[in-house]
Amino acid sequence: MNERHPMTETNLAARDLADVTVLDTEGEAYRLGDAWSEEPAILIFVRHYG
Amino acid sequence: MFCREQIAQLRDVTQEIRDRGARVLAIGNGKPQQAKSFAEERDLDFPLYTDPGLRAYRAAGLRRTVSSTFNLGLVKHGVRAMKSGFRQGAVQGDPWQQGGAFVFAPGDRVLFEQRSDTAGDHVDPRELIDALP
Repeated sequence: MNERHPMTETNLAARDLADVTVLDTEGEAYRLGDAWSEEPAILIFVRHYG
Repeated sequence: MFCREQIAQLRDVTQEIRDRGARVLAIGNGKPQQAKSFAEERDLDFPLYTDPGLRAYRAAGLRRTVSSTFNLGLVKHGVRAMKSGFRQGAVQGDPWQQGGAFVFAPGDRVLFEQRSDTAGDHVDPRELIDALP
């Protein structure tokens, strides 16, 4: 069962993620918040690469 | 097999996402070289990042559990994926980490959030596109 959070909690996930950095395929750092700072962004967290 | 199915579904709608003035990106875990190999092998036309320390997964509130990996939902999703012709390759990354999907907009607006409970439990890309402004 997927969990849909009520609208009252909606700002939580984006703000928590904005300052987190991940690595690109060359190992360079990328700040996640840059993805949605100018335009909407769809983020897919995959379970694994298999 | 579930990850490949999800990525294949996304590739079909990438242009539509861009036409709507939005972007799509994927985040996995494991080493950058694994992400690079996967991105090249799948010929991804959107960025793939990796979060080896699982900090982004944790910040996103995504689930990590042994028990949720083995249940009947997994069997059902596995049957669906196998009928589509996908096969499980070698698992790279944390096998207990579950995934999810989000749609964010400027100003840290959250338009959609979904946190998976089981392997194969991933959102239909159409729901993500419908969440775009």
